[in-house]
Amino acid sequence: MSLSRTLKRGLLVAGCAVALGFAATPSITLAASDLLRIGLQADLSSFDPTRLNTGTGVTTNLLYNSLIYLDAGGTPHPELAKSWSFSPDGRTLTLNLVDGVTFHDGRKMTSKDVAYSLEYAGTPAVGANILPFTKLIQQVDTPNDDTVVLHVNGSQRVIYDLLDLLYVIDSQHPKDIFTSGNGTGPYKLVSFDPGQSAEFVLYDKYWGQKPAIKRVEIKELPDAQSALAQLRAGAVDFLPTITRENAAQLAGSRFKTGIASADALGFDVGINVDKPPFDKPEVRKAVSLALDRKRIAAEIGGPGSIVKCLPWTELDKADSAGLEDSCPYDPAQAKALIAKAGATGATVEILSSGQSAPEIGTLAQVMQSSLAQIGLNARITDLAGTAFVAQFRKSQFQLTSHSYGRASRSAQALLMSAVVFWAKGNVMGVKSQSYEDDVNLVVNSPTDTPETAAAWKRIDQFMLSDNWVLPLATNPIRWASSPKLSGVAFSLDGAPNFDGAVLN
Amino acid sequence: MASYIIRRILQWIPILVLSSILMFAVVRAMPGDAADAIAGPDATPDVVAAVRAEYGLDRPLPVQYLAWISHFVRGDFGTSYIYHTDNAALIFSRIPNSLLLAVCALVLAILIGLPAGLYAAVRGGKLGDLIVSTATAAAIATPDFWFGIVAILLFAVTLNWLPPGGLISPTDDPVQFLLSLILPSFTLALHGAAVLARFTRSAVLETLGEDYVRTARAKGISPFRVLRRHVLRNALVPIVTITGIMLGRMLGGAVVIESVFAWPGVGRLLVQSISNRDYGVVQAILVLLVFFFLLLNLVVDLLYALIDPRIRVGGSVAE
Repeated sequence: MSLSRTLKRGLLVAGCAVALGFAATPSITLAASDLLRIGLQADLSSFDPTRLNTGTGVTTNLLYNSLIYLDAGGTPHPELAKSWSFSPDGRTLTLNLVDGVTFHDGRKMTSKDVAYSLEYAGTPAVGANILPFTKLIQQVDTPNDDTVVLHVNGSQRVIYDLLDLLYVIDSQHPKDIFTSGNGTGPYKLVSFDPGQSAEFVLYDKYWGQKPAIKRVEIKELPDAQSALAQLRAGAVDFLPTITRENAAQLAGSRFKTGIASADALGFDVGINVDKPPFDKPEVRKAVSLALDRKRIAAEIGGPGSIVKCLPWTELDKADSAGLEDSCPYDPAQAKALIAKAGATGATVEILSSGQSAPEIGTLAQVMQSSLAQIGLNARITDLAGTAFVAQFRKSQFQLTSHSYGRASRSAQALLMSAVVFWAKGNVMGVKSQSYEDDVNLVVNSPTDTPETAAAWKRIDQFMLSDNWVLPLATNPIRWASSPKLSGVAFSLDGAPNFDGAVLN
Repeated sequence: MASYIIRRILQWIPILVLSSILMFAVVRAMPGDAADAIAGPDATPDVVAAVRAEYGLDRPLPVQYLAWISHFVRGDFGTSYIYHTDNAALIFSRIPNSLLLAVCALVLAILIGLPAGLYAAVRGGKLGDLIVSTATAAAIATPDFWFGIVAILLFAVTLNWLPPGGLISPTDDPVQFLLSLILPSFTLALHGAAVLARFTRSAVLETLGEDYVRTARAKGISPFRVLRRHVLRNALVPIVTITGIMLGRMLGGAVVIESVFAWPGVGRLLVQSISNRDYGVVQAILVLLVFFFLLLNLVVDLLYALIDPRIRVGGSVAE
């Protein structure tokens, strides 16, 4: 082929590119020390902070502030609320707001915005995942612009979880919440291409300590391997979520990896107690005995995964003392129980969302193999996210490989928010008046009492004996970054916070 | 010609109406709806019902269809349940990017596939044919995502010659814009080029055996002239057909390429919207794709007449 022809071909390609290339698109700007570029695998769909999913979680701490924040030990620290106090009976909480806080549009934040944020999150049609917590707030008073009085009817632990998760939004422009991101946070939204990218700049009137990084760009990188390649190529500085396989690939390289939260997500097996043969308690017990939790933690959760028998965090383990070894791995006993129940050879179905979450699919396969060892033939129905949710919500399953969120929160918060632990309307079909009464007691008691301690013990015993849900291990949230990024902090749920981050 | 085009366009109306009904029905038949996606698995039935009512998903399906189609034909594509932005703005911000990628990939596929296929046919059964056939078989068998990842690792990570992904605005940096096109265009073109090469080889081989080609050779016309005037021209009709189909596929079906290269195209938007049950976006994209295929078919039919004078548009084959 002659050079001139090659040149012509090259020009043709270039010409076609230029002719069609005037679409308005976000740009990748060359890296600078004050520019942080984030690659997001989740869908960047909106800036509504009540969604609190992986996609919005990354932008939430850029755009918004919550009233308080909880550290890893569960201790509350001031954020938009500079101080607070509970009444002696624990039923009234007075919050004093920081002075001089403004939204990105320049308007002063007031107690009315806090009240509106609570009302918004508590509106069923919003679909906020902190909705159950807002039900503990009976009334909100705003005596002046800087004070909020909450009349509460519930555990202080859950109230603190709520205040940590309740990001204050602009009450004047509620319809713009999805796309404007008008919060009080350290960064202001500059541009947003839904489902693709967003750009933020430091808010010059930010009320708190201003972060060192001046500009943040987020772009969606849906493919895990491609995201890793973009990090290696220097096109992004930070990946808020990576798989354990990706983390292993980066091990020994110059890139940093870490765990944002070891226990924000938990693997569990849900068992529908209304569907034979799982209507028999001994069959459910056999499933628990057949699952090797240590292996699941090591092989699926990976390094940092915590083995679980009961779902509570380290902070809540006091009430479960002595029950740590209540979930042994004993396939021989499991097989005997299956035989005793007359279920040997039964065909059962495992509902999984492995099409959306590969690790859940892997868990389903481990379950299938474990159940085969004890005489149950398991089939896997693997669905994508929304299809799984629809079937799961209608209890159309016998077994399900599942993952629950809020696993790093208080035990009361977990009982209220994760459907698999609900005392009422539980999709697993579990019904117990005693369990319901105990859950109501621990959720609604402002502080711990001897009565709540006894209720916790009964809750633990009921979970271990009824086996409708089998917590297995935590699913750590992992991140990766370029070597020049340091100082990124993480919330209890694994959402990054760049207030103290530095790019060297 | 004009009356033929008008007649063809009028035929599109029932096709578009029927396809809109079919697509609406198929999309709504998927398990789970937007309320499930928005509320998540931990919502109570009351919350899901409230979300469903908020977005009008609790209305009977025929009512929902009529509401959607009556707005759609007036250019109002509705608002996304998930992105909360105007669907038309969302979709039309992606279509130019997809078109850009598809056209560049198609040009590359033609530039590579057509000569390769021609060469293989001319060298039929010899080493050159074997090499082209093996290479095209390998290209067809290679998954797009694998080739894309390897290309990123080689050209962006190791050699640092090209951007690893994303579309750079030509107004920001024209050179980087062109460079950002190379990897996704080549990756998307690879499969198309291989298909086109095999198709061209087959069409040309068939034509080479025709009597009129033998006659032309016997008349002492140079082999290049025989190939260009007698063989290629007659082989072009099926090649144009497959090229038209390829362009359609590259526009709407480049999902994997768009994901690997973080390309802001309409294919990934479609997949994300299907996953989120964002009905308005899915239905609008599908109807637009049907429209695009109809348009493409018309263009291909018109091209037939241009390539082969024996073919008359709107009538029968000329004597």
